[in-house]
Amino acid sequence: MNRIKEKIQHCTKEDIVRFLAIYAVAVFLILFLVCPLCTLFIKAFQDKNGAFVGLMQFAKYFSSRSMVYAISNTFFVAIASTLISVTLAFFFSYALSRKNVPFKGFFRYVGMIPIFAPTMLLGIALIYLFGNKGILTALGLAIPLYGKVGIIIAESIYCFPVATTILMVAFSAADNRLYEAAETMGTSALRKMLTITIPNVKYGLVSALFVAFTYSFTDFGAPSVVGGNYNVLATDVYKQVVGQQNFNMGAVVGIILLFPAVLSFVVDRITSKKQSAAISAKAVPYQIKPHRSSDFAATVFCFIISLAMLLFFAVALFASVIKLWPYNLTFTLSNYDLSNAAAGNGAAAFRNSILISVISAFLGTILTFVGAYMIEKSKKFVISRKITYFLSITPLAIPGTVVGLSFIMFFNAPIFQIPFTEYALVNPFHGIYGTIWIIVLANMVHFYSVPFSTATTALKRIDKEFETVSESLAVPFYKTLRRVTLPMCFPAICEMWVYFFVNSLVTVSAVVFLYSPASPIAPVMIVSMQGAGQTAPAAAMCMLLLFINLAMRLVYEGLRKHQQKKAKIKNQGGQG
Amino acid sequence: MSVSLKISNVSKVFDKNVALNNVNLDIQAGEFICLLGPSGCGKSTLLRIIAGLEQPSEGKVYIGDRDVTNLPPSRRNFGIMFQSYALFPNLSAFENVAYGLRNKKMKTRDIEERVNRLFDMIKLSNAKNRLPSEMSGGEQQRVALARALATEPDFLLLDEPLSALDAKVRISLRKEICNIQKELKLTTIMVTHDQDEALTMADRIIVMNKAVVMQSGTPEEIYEKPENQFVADFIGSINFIDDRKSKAYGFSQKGETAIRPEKIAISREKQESDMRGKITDIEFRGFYDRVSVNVNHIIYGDLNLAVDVPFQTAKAMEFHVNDNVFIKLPREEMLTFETRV
Repeated sequence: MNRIKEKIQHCTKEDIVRFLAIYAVAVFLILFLVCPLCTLFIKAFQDKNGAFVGLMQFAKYFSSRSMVYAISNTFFVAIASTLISVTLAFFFSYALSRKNVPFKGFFRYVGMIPIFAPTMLLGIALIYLFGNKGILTALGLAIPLYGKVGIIIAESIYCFPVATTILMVAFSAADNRLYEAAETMGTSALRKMLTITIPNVKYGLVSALFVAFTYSFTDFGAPSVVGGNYNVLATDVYKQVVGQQNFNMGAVVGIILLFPAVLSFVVDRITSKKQSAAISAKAVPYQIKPHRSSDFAATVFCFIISLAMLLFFAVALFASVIKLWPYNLTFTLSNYDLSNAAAGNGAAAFRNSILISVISAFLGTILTFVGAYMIEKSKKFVISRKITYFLSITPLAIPGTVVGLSFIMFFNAPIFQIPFTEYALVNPFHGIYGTIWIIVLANMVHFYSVPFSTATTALKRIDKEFETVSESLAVPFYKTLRRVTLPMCFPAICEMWVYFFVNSLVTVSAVVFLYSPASPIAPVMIVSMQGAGQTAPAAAMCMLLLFINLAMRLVYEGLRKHQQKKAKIKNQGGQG
Repeated sequence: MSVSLKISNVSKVFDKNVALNNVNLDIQAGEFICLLGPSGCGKSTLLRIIAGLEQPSEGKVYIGDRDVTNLPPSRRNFGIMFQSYALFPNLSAFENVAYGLRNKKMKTRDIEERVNRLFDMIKLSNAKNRLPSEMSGGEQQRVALARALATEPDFLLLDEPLSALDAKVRISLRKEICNIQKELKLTTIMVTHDQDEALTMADRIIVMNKAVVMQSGTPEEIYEKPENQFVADFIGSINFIDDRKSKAYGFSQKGETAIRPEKIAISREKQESDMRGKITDIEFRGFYDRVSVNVNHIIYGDLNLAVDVPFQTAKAMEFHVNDNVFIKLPREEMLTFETRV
């Protein structure tokens, strides 16, 4: 009792502020991450009337032939696209980090473009290239696009940037001393590759494989455009929930979708720990040595990949400015006139999307930064901080489809029946359902983990004694946060903001369950326009989203370069 | 203003590791104290407890007569300096020093005046508007000192403040910190693992090992009269002679003896009560040579002793390995430890 009293006595006003801030973040994550997921789990074990039925829904699911097909189909396309994308990304990032390749910056940016576009764009470009009346089909290069082939190609491109990012990090962490030691012993290039390079990046490789697998396993956009009759889980669950209003079956599929994601999450946690431990702090950075033939091969490879990537986006651009492919090839901008889209008001959808992305980016950045700051820079509340940290990295393991599913189940219910009891709770969040706020919340939860990690990394780089110094000077922590920590984290905060914005603008997997016809949003409208055969306006809308995202990214890069330059000039001035 | 500090029966346990075991300490107002010890001895934990950054598991901390054990750091009124300087990188040197004052609702003119005075004191008036990244390590640490002093603290805590600096800068900054400390008569506690630093700067050294205080005393006391083998061994160099040999050679009746290498006399000619030995190694150490001498005795056992000889003397005597020499261990310089700590 005395100890508790002493503890309370030791608490200051600042501690209370910190405590409240940590709890605000924790409560947000519990309400909008944990609760919806719990609803999803409960629904999977109930029938339509809410009665507990055990594993009956699962049994029903697995006894249906078409459903089981969807599972094997999903596995097939996910494995194929994972192998293709990671293989390409492996050589691409190897060439960029270990070979003398010119225009590295250009190649890197081109390789990243798919991140900035909705996955439907890849599907549309594929239709224009390989569809029944596609450009390459007309040239005699006919492939059975609709179905698994189309999905695999689209997913391979979709997964390429994330796999490249992971592998670039892995390749950049090399110890040149190992290569020098091997050289002095006269080791062949192949042997160096097998004994040094591959073991060095194996954790990154494993991580890339799992992440790519999860991405392609759960993506909704590409299969919805080029899937044809080829059922995969993500489109299947959409049909179950939105088409047939069968929430319980949807919950079952949601849980199945969760499996690879959770597995990949666990693997990623383990490997990233090992990766960071594998390289010692004394490691000397890798020195690229010129080697004519392999440098040439690497350059050609990067060139081909970039060309293919650009071709896709050029075709989509082309599709968006042509009157009626392939009959009327006159140039037109009418597809960009969003107000006359037959599937609804395109301009409103576009406006809504931008608004949602901006709000999600603002609120998401504030929330993740506050969460990361409190977890990283507090000394007390150890248990609350640990729980909040765990909740903060959990969204990484939840595919967008599952976020959407669990949200619709959580917010849709006017009351919650507490399982096995007579009691029920009124759902205070029911009012959000059907507004843009449910989409904002979904985006904040769905994309929470990456900005959270960005903030944590940035905060970890800041001397932990800053807080101690300000305490000794009796300056409250929030003043130091405002005057020192925030300005120092400004680049990271911009990056977090852009991440939230870019992803919120193009995501479809979660929001396809959540939008309401009263407030349409652009990515969903693309899906429905495409479904209604309005491919050209759909392409135009995709391009618009892509342009906005690229512009946002360019502004960010410009800002960052400007700041770096400023810092450099200042430093030089100081030395002079 | 300066205050006394009192640490009373303080213990600190992390999980199951004992970082401090019943530590007692009385620090006079205006005293410069060095906490010296190997890494992991608990000296930093003790400093953090005095600052209020850690809570002791047992015991009390007093500032003056006030029990501050449960007081947060912001209400203890101290200045602190770290090995990493911990200057705010986005603020100019001036703003760093003014940081604590801006919070005190002081008039801008008063702030400027006080900060300028501090910059005069650390002799960096021309660097006020620079950013920390535009300053050398020594300059940054001086700004950190000015920042710590700006709020007129009751006492100053220094956590290995010189360890990250170059040898030359370190020595000049030692002097500077000492001068300022004496001028302000500011109670100061410095943590260090560098014995030279402790010996040159401190009024009193607290030697710590394995969570307990091994000895507390002036630098001379610590060096000349170490109370136990740990302190004797940790500060400077010393030759230990175990209790069996000590008794055999007649250095003591009971217990281990020890002698510092520079206290042993060495010569080419035998004088009274000298022992004959053979040089086994000569190490050049700059202003002195460390000569290893082996005294061979069939019954008593071998003695291997390090002897420090001023370089000029060693040169004049032309020592070589395998030369025969005579050494003398003056009784009054020998230390006796009855028990092993």
